[in-house]
Amino acid sequence: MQRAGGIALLALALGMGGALGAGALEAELVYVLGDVELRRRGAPQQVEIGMLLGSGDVMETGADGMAILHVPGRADLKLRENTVLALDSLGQELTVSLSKGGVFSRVLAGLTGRYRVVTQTAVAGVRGTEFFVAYGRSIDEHPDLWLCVNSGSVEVTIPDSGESVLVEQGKGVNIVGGVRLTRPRAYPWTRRLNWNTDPGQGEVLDRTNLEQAYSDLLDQDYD
Amino acid sequence: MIKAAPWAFALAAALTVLPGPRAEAEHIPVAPAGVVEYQGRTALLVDTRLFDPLIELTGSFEGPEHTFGYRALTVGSYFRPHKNLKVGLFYRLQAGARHDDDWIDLDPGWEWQDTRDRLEHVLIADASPRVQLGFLPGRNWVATLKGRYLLNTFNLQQAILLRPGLTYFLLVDREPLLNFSFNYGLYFPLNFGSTVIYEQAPYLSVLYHLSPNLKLEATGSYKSVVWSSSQDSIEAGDSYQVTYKAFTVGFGLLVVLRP
Repeated sequence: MQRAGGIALLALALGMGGALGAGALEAELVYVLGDVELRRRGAPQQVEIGMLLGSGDVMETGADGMAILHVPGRADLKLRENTVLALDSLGQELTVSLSKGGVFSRVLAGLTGRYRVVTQTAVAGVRGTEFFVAYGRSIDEHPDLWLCVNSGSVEVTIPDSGESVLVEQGKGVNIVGGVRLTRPRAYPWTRRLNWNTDPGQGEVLDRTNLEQAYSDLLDQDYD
Repeated sequence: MIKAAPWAFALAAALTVLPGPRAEAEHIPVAPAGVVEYQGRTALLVDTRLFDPLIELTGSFEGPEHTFGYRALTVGSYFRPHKNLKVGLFYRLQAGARHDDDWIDLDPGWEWQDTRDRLEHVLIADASPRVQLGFLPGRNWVATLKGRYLLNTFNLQQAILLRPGLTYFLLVDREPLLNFSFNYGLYFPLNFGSTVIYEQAPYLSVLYHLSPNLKLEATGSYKSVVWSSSQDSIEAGDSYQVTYKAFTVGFGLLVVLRP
């Protein structure tokens, strides 16, 4: 187990099989909307569609921003607004760190190594999975972390406690305060998520308000 | 021949004019004491975020005999124009309701009319502002003032309900498990009765969230209803205000759909 800056990393061996391909060492920025920034070795870079990104690059979207990254043959990543996503490794292991906001991950058939989204809890996906991870409210010491799966299944593990759960297609979990896993279940608000990562296939902007994940105490009328 | 004093003739005249105690009590309803009533309800609510339609069925076992009396079917919808305000319009079909004028002269005798087969149509407008009291310990407190205007088309009686209340939500893993509510309901008659408040009741309820879609409810209230002179009793020369008090225990099953 390796700790980095308070964020726990979890290494899972998933979907290993066949020869490990060399894989792409770059990602391509295929879609940009609104305020999007790139930091490379700490320095801001001009952002333009089609530019190549490498390990260590950090993408940040503003309040009206959205971006889609394509890791050829291995994954599509769609960043929501107010998101900070670091591309830790684009080699045989595809690893990104989400420190703020939310990201859709579509893991493609060409992935032969491991894919990890690192947060205060780490989740990992195998090829053929499509899932969404986003930070929720900060009520306890650490923020909530929501995860839902659109296709395939994803194993979620809490490094500190070793607690883990397999989240199946159509279900989601809340990692309450970043430390406690809820039981996977279908959440009505996840039906409104826009999973499309291909601008050629239609609207890609996801306007889902994550506040809907929480009970609105002012909207409880039973008589 | 014995001469009677003048005062004696006056006394005799008074005794023949004033009604005796037994005849006067028959014109005035008697409120039984220590009554416990039971009420059940089931409702289907749809949470669409903007509109919340509902349909509710209610039934009550009333009076010292626990007679199955009042029943009501209510349909309508809430609308949320602002996060701190919900408004609603409802239609209620009810039977078994008791009004002041239901105390009738059977000649001989007086009793409450059996209204269990009498259908009444009530139109209801609701406005309920609410605010979360995050400064209270536990944070999950909501204060609500339920306000309703009711028009009964049967007798054109109009009333206003004001019911301030405080609810605490027990959340587990960010999901509500139990709601604890205390409310105080006040009915103000606008064009009937002879009192400012027709009915009032403190009201406690516990709502258990069995699942996101299924809720179980238990309630307890202590109502006071003031019966004012009925039309028959006024014509008989009476005037009264009688307060009927009863504990009401209620149970409910609520189904909530979120499309």
